[in-house]
Amino acid sequence: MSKPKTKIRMHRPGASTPADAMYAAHEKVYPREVKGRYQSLRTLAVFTLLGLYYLLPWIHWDQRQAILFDLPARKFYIFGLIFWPQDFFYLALLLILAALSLFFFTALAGRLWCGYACPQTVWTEVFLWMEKWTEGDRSKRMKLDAGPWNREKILRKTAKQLLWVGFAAFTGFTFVGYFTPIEVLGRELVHLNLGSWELFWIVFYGIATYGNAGFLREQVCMYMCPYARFQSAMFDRNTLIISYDPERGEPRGGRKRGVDPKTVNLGDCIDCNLCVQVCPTGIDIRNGLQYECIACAACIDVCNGVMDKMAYPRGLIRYTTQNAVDKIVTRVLRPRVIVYGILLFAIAAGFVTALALREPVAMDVLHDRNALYRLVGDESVENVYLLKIMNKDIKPHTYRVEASGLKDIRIETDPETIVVQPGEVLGVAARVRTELDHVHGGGANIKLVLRSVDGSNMTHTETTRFLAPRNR
Amino acid sequence: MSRPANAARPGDAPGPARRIRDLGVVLWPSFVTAGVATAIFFANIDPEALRAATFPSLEIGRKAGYTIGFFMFWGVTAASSYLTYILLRPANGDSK
Repeated sequence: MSKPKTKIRMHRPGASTPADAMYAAHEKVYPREVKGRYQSLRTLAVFTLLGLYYLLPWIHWDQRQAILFDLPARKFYIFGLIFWPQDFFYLALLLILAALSLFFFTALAGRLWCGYACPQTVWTEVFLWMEKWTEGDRSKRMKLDAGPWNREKILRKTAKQLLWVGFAAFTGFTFVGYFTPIEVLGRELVHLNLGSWELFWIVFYGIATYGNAGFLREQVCMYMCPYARFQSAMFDRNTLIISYDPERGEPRGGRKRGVDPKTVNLGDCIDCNLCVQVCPTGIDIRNGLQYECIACAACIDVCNGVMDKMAYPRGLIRYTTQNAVDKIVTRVLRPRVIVYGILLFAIAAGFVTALALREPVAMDVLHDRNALYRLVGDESVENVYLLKIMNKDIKPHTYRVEASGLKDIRIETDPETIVVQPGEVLGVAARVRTELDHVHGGGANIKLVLRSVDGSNMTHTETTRFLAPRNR
Repeated sequence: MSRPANAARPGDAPGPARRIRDLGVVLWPSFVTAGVATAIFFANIDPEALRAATFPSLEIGRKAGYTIGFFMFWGVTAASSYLTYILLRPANGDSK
C-alpha cells in the first residue's frame, strides 16, 4: 500500500520484544467493572442481540415457528418466506453483504463489530456478569483466586460454574431450536427422549459457548480471530480508533484532587492505571494503538469518570482518528469508504429487488427416460414429461399447464388442474402431442407455461425439447 | 504480519496454555471454513441422494448425513491447518 498506514505497535508489559508478546506467558485478565456511556451502549447491545437470539425461536408465524432452518426437510422458514436449496443464491448474497458491511464499518469506524456486536464479546460480557454476581468485583475475584480452597471459595466457584454451565446449555438448546422446532425440542428435553443428534449438537454448542466465553475469552480475539489480524488492512489514518492523547496526558503522575496540572509540571494523566484494569484484553491503551484492542471503549468510560473527579475536561482517552491526534484534518468521505459504500448499497439493493421479484413457483421438466417419443396412430407423435412443480409460497395454489411452440400442440396433465400445497413439490405426468408433419428434423423446442388459475396471477415458463422421428 | 504468527520462538512459554492456544489456532479457522463448505455442499446435494448413490444399504438420515458431512469437512480442513502450522515452524529446531 502506498498510503501511510496506521502503525499498529504491539507492546505488552513484560514482553522483551513485541514479537515475544505472542506467546508470553498468559496472565489471567481480571477486567474491572466499569460504568459509563459506552458500557451502557454495550449492555444495550447485549440485551438486544442475545434477546433476539434467545427469543426468536419461540415466535410463531402461521402456526409454525417463524424462523426455522428445517434441515431434515431441506427448507428454511423466515417469517412469511420459505427458502429451498435452489435459493442458495440469496444466502450467498447475504454473506457477501455481511462481508462488505464489515469492510465498510471497519474503514469508517474501526472495530465496532469487536467492541459491541461480536458473539464472542457479547457472550463473554454475560459470563463476566455471572462471575461478578457469584465471585464479586475485580479485587474480590483476585483475592478469591489467590486464597486457599475454603468453604466460601468452593461455594462461590460452584455457584459460578452452575450458572455458566446452565447458561451454556440453554444457549446450546436455543441453537438447536433454530433447526428442530424448539417447542418439540423442549418437550423432548422434559421427557428425556432427545434425539441423539439434537443432544450431540446441544452439548457441542454448549461446550463451545462455555469454552469461548468462560475460559478462553480475550485469547479468542488475540490468537484465534482472523478478523483481528486482517482488519488493519482496512484501517487508515481517518478511521475511528480509541486513542490516548499523550500530548495532553504526559508527563503522567499522581497528584491531589483538584490540582492544576500545570502548577506541578504534569500532564492530565494521573497514572491511576484504571484504564489498564478495565481492559478485557489486559493492554495499556497509553502505549498506542495495539492489535489486541477490541475497541470496547471501557477505558474511555473509566478515564472520563476519573477526569470528572479531578475536574479536568473529559476525553483524555477518546474515540478519535490518527489524523486528529496528529492535528491533521480528518476526512470521513475518502475513496475507500465511498467504494465500499457504493458496493454495499448496490448489492443490498440487488438483494432486496431479487427477494421482491422472487417467483413463488418453480417447475422442473424431466423428459421421460424410457421412450423418446410415442407414435399415436399414423398422424401424431407424443412425448411424456414429468413436471416437478414446487409451490414456494405460504398458501396452496392451483395451476394449469399450457404448451406452445409447435402447431396444433396439445397438453394433457393428470389431473388437469393441479393443486400444490405450500412448500410441496408435486410430480405431475404430462403428455404433449402434435401432428407428425409439424415437427421437422427430429425435434423442436417447445415452451411449457405453468399458470396459476386461482387469481394469484403467477406464471413460470420452461423451455424443453420435443422429440419426433427424424426420417420424415 | 511480517512473520508467521504461530511460529514457535525462543522464549515461548511452554506448557498447557500454549498448547491450548495452538490447538485453537488450528481448530477454529478450520471449523469456520468447514462450516461454509458444508453449507455450500449440502445446499446443492441432498444427503439422502448421496446415501442412495454411495451406501444404499446403510440407514443414514439427513440429520446424521449433515453431521457426518460437517465433521468430514472439519477433519480435512483441520488436517490442512495442522500441516500449515507444522510447516510454519522453523525447520532448524531452534525452538526445541
